[in-house]
Amino acid sequence: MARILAVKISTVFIQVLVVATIVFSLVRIMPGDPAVLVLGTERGADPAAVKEMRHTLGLDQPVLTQYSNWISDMARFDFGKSLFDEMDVKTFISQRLPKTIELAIVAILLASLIGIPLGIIAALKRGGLVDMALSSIAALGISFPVYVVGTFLILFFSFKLFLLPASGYVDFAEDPINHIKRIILPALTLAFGLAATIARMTRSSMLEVLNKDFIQTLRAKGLSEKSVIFKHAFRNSIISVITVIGLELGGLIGGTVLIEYLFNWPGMSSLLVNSIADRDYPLIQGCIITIATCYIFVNLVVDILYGIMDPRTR
Amino acid sequence: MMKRLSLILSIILTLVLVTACGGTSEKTSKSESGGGAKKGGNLTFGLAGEPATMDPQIQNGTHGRTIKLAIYRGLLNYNKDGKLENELAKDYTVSEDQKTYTFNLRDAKFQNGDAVTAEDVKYTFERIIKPDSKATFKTELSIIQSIEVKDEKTISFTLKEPSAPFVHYLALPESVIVSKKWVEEKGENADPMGAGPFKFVSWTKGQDLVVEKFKNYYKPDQPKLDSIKFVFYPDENTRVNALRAGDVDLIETVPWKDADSLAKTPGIKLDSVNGPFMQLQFNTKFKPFNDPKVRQAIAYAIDRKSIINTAFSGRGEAIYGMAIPKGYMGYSDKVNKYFKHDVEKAKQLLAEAGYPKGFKARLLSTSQFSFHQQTAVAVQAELKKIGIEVELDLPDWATRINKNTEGDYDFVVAGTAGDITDADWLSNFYNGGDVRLNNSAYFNDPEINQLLIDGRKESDPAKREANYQKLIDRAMELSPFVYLSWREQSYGMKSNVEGFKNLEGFLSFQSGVTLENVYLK
Amino acid sequence: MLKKFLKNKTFIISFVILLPMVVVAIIGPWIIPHDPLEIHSDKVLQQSLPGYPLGTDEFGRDILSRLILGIRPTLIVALGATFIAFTCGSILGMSAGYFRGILEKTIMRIVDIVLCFPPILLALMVVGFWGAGINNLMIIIGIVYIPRFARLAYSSTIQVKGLEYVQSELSLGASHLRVVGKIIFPNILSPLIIQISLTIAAAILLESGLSFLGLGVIPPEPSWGQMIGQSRGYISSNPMYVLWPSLFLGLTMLAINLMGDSLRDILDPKLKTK
Repeated sequence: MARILAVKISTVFIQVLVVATIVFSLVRIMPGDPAVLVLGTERGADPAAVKEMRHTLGLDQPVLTQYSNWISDMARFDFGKSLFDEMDVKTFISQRLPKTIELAIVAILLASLIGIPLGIIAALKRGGLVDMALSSIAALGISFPVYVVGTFLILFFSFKLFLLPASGYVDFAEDPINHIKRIILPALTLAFGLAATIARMTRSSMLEVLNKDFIQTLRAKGLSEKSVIFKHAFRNSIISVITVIGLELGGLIGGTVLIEYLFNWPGMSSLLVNSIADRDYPLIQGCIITIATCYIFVNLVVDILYGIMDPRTR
Repeated sequence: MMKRLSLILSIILTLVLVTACGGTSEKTSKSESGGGAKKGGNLTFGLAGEPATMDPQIQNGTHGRTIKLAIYRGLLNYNKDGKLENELAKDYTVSEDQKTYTFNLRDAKFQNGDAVTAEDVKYTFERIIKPDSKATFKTELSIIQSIEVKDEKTISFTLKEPSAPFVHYLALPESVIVSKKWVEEKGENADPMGAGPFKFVSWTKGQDLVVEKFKNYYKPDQPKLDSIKFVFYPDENTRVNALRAGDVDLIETVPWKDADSLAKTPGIKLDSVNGPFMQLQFNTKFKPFNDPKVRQAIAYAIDRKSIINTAFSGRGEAIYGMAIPKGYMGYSDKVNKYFKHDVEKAKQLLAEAGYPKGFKARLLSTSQFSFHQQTAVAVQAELKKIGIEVELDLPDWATRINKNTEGDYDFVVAGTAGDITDADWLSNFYNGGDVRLNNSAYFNDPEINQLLIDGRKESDPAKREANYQKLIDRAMELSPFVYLSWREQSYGMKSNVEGFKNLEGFLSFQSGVTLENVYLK
Repeated sequence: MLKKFLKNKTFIISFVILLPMVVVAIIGPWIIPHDPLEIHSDKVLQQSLPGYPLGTDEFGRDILSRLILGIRPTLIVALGATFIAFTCGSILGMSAGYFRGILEKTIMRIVDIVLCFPPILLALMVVGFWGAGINNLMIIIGIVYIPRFARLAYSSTIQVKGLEYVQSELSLGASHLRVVGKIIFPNILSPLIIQISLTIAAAILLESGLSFLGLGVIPPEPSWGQMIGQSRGYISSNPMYVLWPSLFLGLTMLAINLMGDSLRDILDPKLKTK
């Protein structure tokens, strides 16, 4: 077990290194000069000032030097400083990452609360009207893009009913009620599609388990239907549901671009999108590596969890 | 561990408490901000972007300037009527030869408690003109030959040659006075600290920047507000939604499509001026745009109304000539009548230039800002009518800027404004020399270059007026730029926001200077 | 087999929705009532006008005509990207699963790395230096989804290769090409076909998402995602403008998802969702 883990973790490191190298090259192929952007674009800067700025930012050094400096800094967990205001990339990420994680977790919780019960009901009433209705709702849920759902939720809750703010972020410590109010719409939008995925997954894995011999045996033994379903069937089918939830969570860390854009949520994705627009190289690199690492890490955890919960898979 | 536990406990506690008395507490806070005609208040200002840097010598966009003008003041600034006004300078005198300007400073204080001294002023401008400076207006201010501190409150600037626009460049938000001690101790990217009405409190990246009232501001009754929270809303729809939903009190750059409906919304008012302008810049080195006739053909071909109606929801004003705001030097009745919408004339000019069947060209714009993109789409449709097949190039803003500054375009959509109200604003656009953001690539006309120099040196207004008339005629003849429209620039605010003024003309971008007068009714 | 398809209600429903879409996509240019690019600055943002049943957009262009022509880029990008992903992914996956060894390690590691990037971010960056446009989008989205097919083909190939009759075929000295082409590929086709329908859906979502952000199909050509992105700002002046493309996009997605479900039921009832 320990050996497998060690191998897995070392592959993770190599993966991160390769990702880092790819990102480093990608951002430098992109047209656009951070020095010009730092100096402002509403009015052209002096060419001499641009040259001076390139020097200050270290962009006039050979690319290989920049690369080796960056990698060796990264080995010491130093992601460098933003080109724009000398703030540590780490500080940026530590401000933004929790906000995305919060959004993702609230969305996943909401989605699970809706999706799992619906999935179970659908599985139990298989083929019936309820099943049909739930399946069609689920199909709708995964069919409408998040930005469409979000736009209509804003239209309805913010402009027609004036119930919830359309966008933005308030610190929990500053104003808890407004904080909660502002997370509802984006989380709900995300949860809409996720709930559908989770419901489908729950349904199909419940069905699979319910068809297994041991369930029939349990029933034959005279156990109450309730206990068969909740104690045995559900517990056995939850593994694959958890896997899906875990993988979705990993994907959400970098996959909330459209939601953060729509709701002005200051999370990881909007940080990355802004840093791309600014060509802020160290910040882009730091963001992508963080997102990729989160994704790899979540996958690893899901892998391990899977191993623990279901001993049959190695 | 204990720490974390207690933190979690306290969070749960507050949550319970807050939900228990949530309904009532919200109501009281509402009535507080709504009622009571007491002075002051806390303003939330939705900005269109986050400044990249707070180094005041860099022109970092309207949002940056607004914050800058809350925190800093210069020797002079444009006041709310668009006139030059002494700020940190009590008064100033100009020598006989028009080359030496002597300023007497008033008793003003920086926000750290230090007095504003002549040393600080000297430091500010030497920082701007030093060889490795990154200041946006380095070229313009390099007219300064030497700076001399006479005593603690007196300073004189000696110029290389007489310059009428010099004081205007001193009034720019980029020429605000910084504290020598503060910058030397804390470095260039220190927390912003100046002698303006508001004191910097905090900056949460990606979210907001907060300033509070500076009690020792040199104007005794100002500022009126207790604090301003600048919130960053790069997306225009989100920004408008925030005003509609009541999240913010004031927003800049109201999207045109929302202006009508916002103006009609109860509780919201709009302050609009025709400030900046939209124009086409051409690469004048290559065919077909190296021929002034072709550029003039384009000036005749485009129905400006179509652009205003589609890209700006009918708001703004057509320009069929040159973008000189009313009241500025060079303005006359004919300034808007050089061209008209005349497809036949356009076709004829194209034929004269040797392109009777039109040609193909690439129009650079950007997908990042919808009005840029929509202007490009409208221009494309209009030019199709005279046989010019336009291919749109719509990269993101950073790439668009890159292509613009390298001259990598056939023609490009630009939205811009002059820097100052003096006629020398034209230099940035018409002066030959390197390809840069604001000129038409490779355009270099010796006659225009000379007229620009003459205009700068001349101090007699009548002679200057004649000089710039000549320049405008020449500029229209060569048409390195084709002007499209005045772009309306609007601030939207709740009706209880008083004292904020959108400055006329080019100065709209400097409206932040009026924040010192703002109060909530 | 055909009977199975015709008996499946879900398949019929999705077919009934998709067929007209595809037909309209093909004959679109001949049935549109107006030129979708023609600007009428005097009738912008109308909810409905004589001759313009679905109203006009901010340029006074006919929304119906734009909707009809907007299917094309969406379908072309989605189908093209899926084709690229399917071809490259299956070949890579099958070679990895069939030959094993270093090839397997290299291919699967590369696949893992591509998977580390959330699709929309990878697409965003590539569009950044490569530029938008239909062809670029097709290739970018195709690359983004290669890993899906590669992983699936890989694991299925390993399974099939382990089967006795494949082993005996191999021991009889059949060429690799014959074994892969004649035996392995047909046997792993079912899960791949199901994946195709899922990928088409995902590609449509990604294309429309990028267009929504203004990084997709280059204006003035219409595409649904771009129409939704543009119309979002006019929600108060013409709410129908945002409704129509949203509705059509949702409907298409629904039909493709249903098609995927029915394919799964028909081709492989035992297969799990993922």
